[in-house]
Amino acid sequence: MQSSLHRIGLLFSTGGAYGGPSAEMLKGARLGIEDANAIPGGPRLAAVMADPSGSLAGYTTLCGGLLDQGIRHIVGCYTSQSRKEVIPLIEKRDALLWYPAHYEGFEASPNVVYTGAAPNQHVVPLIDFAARSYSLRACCVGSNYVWAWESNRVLREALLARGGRILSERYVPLEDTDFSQMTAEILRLRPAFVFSTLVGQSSHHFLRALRAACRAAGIDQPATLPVLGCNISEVTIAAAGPESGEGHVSSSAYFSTVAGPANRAFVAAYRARFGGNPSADTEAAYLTIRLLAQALAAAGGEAVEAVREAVKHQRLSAPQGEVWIDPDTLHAALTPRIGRSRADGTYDIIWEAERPVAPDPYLVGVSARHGLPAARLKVVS
Amino acid sequence: MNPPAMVQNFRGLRAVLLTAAAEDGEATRMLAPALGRLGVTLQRQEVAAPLAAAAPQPCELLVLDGDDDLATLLAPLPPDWLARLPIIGLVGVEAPGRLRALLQAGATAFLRKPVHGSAVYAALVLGVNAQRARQHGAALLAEQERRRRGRRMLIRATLRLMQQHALDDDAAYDLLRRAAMRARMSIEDYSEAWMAGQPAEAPTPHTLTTQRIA
Repeated sequence: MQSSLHRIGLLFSTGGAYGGPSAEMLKGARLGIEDANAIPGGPRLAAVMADPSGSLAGYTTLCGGLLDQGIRHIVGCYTSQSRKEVIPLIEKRDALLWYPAHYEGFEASPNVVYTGAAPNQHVVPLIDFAARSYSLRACCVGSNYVWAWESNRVLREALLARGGRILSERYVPLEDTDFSQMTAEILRLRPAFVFSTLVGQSSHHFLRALRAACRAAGIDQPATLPVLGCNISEVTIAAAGPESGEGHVSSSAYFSTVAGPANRAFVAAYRARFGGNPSADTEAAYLTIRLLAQALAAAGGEAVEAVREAVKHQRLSAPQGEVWIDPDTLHAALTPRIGRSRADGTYDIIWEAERPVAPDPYLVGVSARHGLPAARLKVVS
Repeated sequence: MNPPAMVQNFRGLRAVLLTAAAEDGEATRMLAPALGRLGVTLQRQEVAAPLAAAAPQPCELLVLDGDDDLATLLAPLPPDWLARLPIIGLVGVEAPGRLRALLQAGATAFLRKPVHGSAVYAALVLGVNAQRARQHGAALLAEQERRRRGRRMLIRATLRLMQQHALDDDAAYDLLRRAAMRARMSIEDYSEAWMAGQPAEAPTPHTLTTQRIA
C-alpha cells in the first residue's frame, strides 16, 4: 500500500516569554511525527515549521504563510492569546488548528481540535483537591491574560461557594520575572495555598522567589504555603532548580511518571532524543500528531471536513492512557491527575481519575451555580 | 431589591425556535449543536402564521427569526408571556424594519444568520442576562410607582398625627416609620392601612418616647 504524504504546519514559539513550554510541544510533535511515520502503510507526515518567537503578530503572518502554501492542518499555539489570533484566519480559510495546550475553556470553534485539558479536567480537579487538603484561603498570582483571568474566576466562584476566600489576586506581564513585592504580600497574608497561573519564565522565577522569601522568614514553604497550579510542569520544576522545585502541586492530564508501557516507551524515546523529562505539553503535542495521523488515514486525505469527521471516531492509547475526541465539542477526553513535584524534577502522582473524563469546555456539568432559577413558564391563556 | 446575579450556566434550559414553516433550517443548522454543548435543548417549532392554534412548547428561551413576519406570528401570544422570556433574535436581512421587529418582540441579543456555533454562548449570556436586568428594572419601577401612589396616604397620615399629638412633621414621620417597621410594612402601606383603621396598634407618641429613651 502506497503511503500518502501530508505536509503539517507546526506553529510553535521556541523563543519569547513562553518559549520553554512551547518548545516542549515542538519536541512532542517531532516524536509524534517520527512514531506516526514508522507505522507501515500509514500516512507520512512532513513538518513545515513556523516559529513566531512569542510575537502575536508573528502568529498571524506565519499562519497565513502556512495556509498560503496549501497546508490544511496546523498543530500549534500555546497561549490562548495566540490561538485567538489565528482562529479567524483558520476559519476563513477553512483549515484545522490542532491545539495541544490545556486552556481555560469557553470556546468550541468548528475549525479547532482541542487536545489539551479543558477546565473540568485541570482547574476543577485541583479545586476539589484543595478543598480536601487545605483551608480555603488562597492568594492568586497569574500572567496578565485570559488564561489566568478565567482560571482565577473559576477558582474564586468555587471557593466562595464553599465559604472560602481569595485574599489577593495579582497579575504580572507575560515576561515578568521580579516577584519580590508579590512574595512579600503572600508572606504577610499567609494564605493556606497559592494558586499560580503564571506561564513560561515567570512561573519558575516565582517559585524561586517564594522559596527564597520563605527560607529567609524561616517558613517551610511546601508545608505551609504550598503552590498549586495547572501549568507547573516538569520543565518549570527543572528550571526552578532542585532548591526551589520540590513540593509544588500540579493538576495535569500527564506526568512523566505515569505508569504503563506506552508512557515508558514515550519517556525512553524522549530521553534518548532530548534528555530530561517530558511534560504534559510534550505529551499533548505527541498525542495530537498521532490522532491527526490516524484521522488522516481514516479520512483517506487532508480534506478538512473529512478529517474533522474522522477524528471524532479515533481512539488512541497515548502515554497518559486512552484518549478520544468528543464529537460535540472537538475537545479531548483525558485523565485528570494531581502530582506533587520531587527534587529530581519529576512528580509523585498523588491522585488520578479512574478513567478518562469527558471534556466540558463550558463547565456545563460541573456547577449549577450561576444557573437560571428553576422557573418553568408556559402559556396560560 | 438586589440586582440579579449573572447567569452563566444554562444547563437544562429549553429553547424554542419559532419560525415560519417555509424555512429550510440551513441557516440555523449550527444552532442546536452549539446550544447542546451548553446543556440547552432546542426545539424547532415550525408554525404557519398565525400561531393561534399551536401554542409554543414550554420553554425558558425563545429564538425568533427577524426574517419572519413577527407581527403576525406573535400576535396571538399574550404580551406578558413574551416579556417573561429571554429572546435571541436571528438576523438575516439587516434592514432597520427587521431589526425593529426583533426589538419590539423583546430580543436582547442577536445572532447573525447563518449561525456560527462559536457566537452562541456570548449571545446566550447577553440575551438571558439583559432580559433579567430588564425584568429587574421593570419590577423596581413598578414597586417605586406603587409606593409613589402611596405617598398621598403617607402625607395624610403624617398630618393626622401632627394634629392629634401636636407634633412637627419630622416627629410625626418618625413615629410612622417606627410603627411601620414594627408592623413589617412599608411606610406607605402602613399609612394606608392605618388611615383605613386596620392596624391594631396605632402610632402613639408614647411609643416614640419610649423608643427614644431606650
